[in-house]
Amino acid sequence: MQLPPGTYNTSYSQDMAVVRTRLQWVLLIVFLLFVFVAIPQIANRFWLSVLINIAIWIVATQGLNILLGYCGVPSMGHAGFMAVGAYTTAILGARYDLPFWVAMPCAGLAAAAVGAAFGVAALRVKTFYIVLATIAAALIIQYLISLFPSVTGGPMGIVVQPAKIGGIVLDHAKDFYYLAMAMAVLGTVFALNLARTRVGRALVAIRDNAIAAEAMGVNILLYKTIAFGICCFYAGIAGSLMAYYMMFVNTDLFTFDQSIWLMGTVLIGGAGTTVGPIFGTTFIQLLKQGIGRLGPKLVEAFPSVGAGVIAAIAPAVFGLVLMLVFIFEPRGLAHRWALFKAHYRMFPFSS
Amino acid sequence: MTIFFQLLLVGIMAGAVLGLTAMGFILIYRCSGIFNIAQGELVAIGALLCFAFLNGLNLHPALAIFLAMLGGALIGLLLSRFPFGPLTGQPMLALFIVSLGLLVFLRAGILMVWGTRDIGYFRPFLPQGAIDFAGLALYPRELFGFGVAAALLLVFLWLFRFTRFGLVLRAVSEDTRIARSLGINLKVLIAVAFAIGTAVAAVGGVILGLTQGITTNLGDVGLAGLAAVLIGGMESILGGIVGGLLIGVVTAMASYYIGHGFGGVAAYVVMLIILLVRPYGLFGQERIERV
Repeated sequence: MQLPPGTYNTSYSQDMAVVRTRLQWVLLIVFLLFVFVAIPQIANRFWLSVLINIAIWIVATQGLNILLGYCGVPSMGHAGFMAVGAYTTAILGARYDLPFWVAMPCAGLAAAAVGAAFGVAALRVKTFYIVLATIAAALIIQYLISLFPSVTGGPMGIVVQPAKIGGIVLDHAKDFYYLAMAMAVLGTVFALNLARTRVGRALVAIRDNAIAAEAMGVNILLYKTIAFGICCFYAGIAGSLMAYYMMFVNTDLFTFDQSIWLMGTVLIGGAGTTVGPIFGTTFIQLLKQGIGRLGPKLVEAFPSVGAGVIAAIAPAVFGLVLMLVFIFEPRGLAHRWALFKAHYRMFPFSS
Repeated sequence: MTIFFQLLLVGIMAGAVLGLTAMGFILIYRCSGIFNIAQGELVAIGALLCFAFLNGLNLHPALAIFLAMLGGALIGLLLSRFPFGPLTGQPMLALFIVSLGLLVFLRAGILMVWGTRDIGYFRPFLPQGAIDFAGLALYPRELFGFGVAAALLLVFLWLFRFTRFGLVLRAVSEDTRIARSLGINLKVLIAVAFAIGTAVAAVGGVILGLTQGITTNLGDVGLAGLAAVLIGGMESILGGIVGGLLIGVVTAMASYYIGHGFGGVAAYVVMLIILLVRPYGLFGQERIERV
């Protein structure tokens, strides 16, 4: 970490500190207070739903970022693994009446197990082959869900009971917001720390040069499978959150398009950084929800243009943004943020 | 047993379209290293263009198909300038992501122009009734599609083996940098490859539209086409065709014998199994990597 002028690390604990300077502490506490205290007070229904969506997506993209950003393995089946988590939650919650604090970790573990099983097969192949293998994984999961309608409800889906903590039922957006945001913060902290551990460094080594990493004693298949498992665990948790938020699960929530959006979000934010998924998710979700909110007004303003056209604006803009980001800033929004921080730190000597 | 052969026939005819999709894809991949996942949407655009020329403007079928091909080629030329133009020499993953953005963009663009509804069928220009072929039912539209696919395959095999263009193309796919230093204009070559690749995709779209009817989500065939590419191996045009036929047959058989829902998944199951045994596909070259 680059430090402001005049600040030096003089001990190991200082060198390893995540939050190093007083200003960072202040900013962090202000940010957390803002997120957990101020926003629930001031946000209306629309903004709460936007923020809950952002929180759920941050969990999913942080997971994908561990695989894609740190390990360099693309996965286009993320939504499929989210579906595993969501259905596990729904089945455990609705059929077996398990409380949410059992169902959610189980959802994560189930997704991780399915992911690791596919991973062992998929990770033997490289780059583009993995892309198709993960797409295949998501399609097979969807097929399996539709194959057992007695368990999964088939196309009707399953109704999910709202989550309960103690005596509090999280059936209002405001209550659920705390849970979703807490999971997003937890997921981010875990991802941040994972990158600094032995596992995280092994993953980065595999991404940067697989053969050199192997020569250094990194078991590539093992670590890739671990990364895949962690990635799918996050997906399972995100899917579980989604199930509790929508109070309903069916396969239409987890399509191939969703996987593309998730992957694009990580890349627009900046793969391989912890802030990247947060930036990407916030940007993309604001864009999506903003256009979604603008849509009805546009339909009113231009009645001759069909509603289908308006609905296609969001993906069109997303596709365009994805292309432009890769042409002009391949390292994503996180790189811009790093440049801004460097500029701020060096001021007035930065150019 | 008749049913088995009938399914085999249906599968081969359906596989021809996948083979065409795969062929266009491999052509672009070999020249530019771009894993163009948006190929399926180019197929859809081909079908939609042909529909517009054939039903909208009431042109002669041959002219309409030719114009759809031309339109596809033009789109390909545009694509080689934007978004792929400024990205020459970027890592493969970056190129892939850009093509992913292109996929989302084209899909949305198709919805914007043509809407979400089913569009209909081509104005019939082939005889409708089934031909009796040794006890099996064979539709002229399937025969037409298979014939076109086979003809295009032969043309391409000839092009690659025996012409200067093919030689240049093989040189570039072998080693881009050396090929460039020998005076090959990479920009022009990539543009040409894109034009041909998308034109082939457009023809695939026309054939697909003949058998399935025109909808705006015809582009979904792209994924099955990619599975065909990976089964065959990314470098080999012949492999793509074989992969396409294999997927077509497997899909037809699985839909009938196992269950309709399994048809769509069977292709990917076969692909996963083949990748486990031969990670580089049936006809692909195994690359030896050095640090």
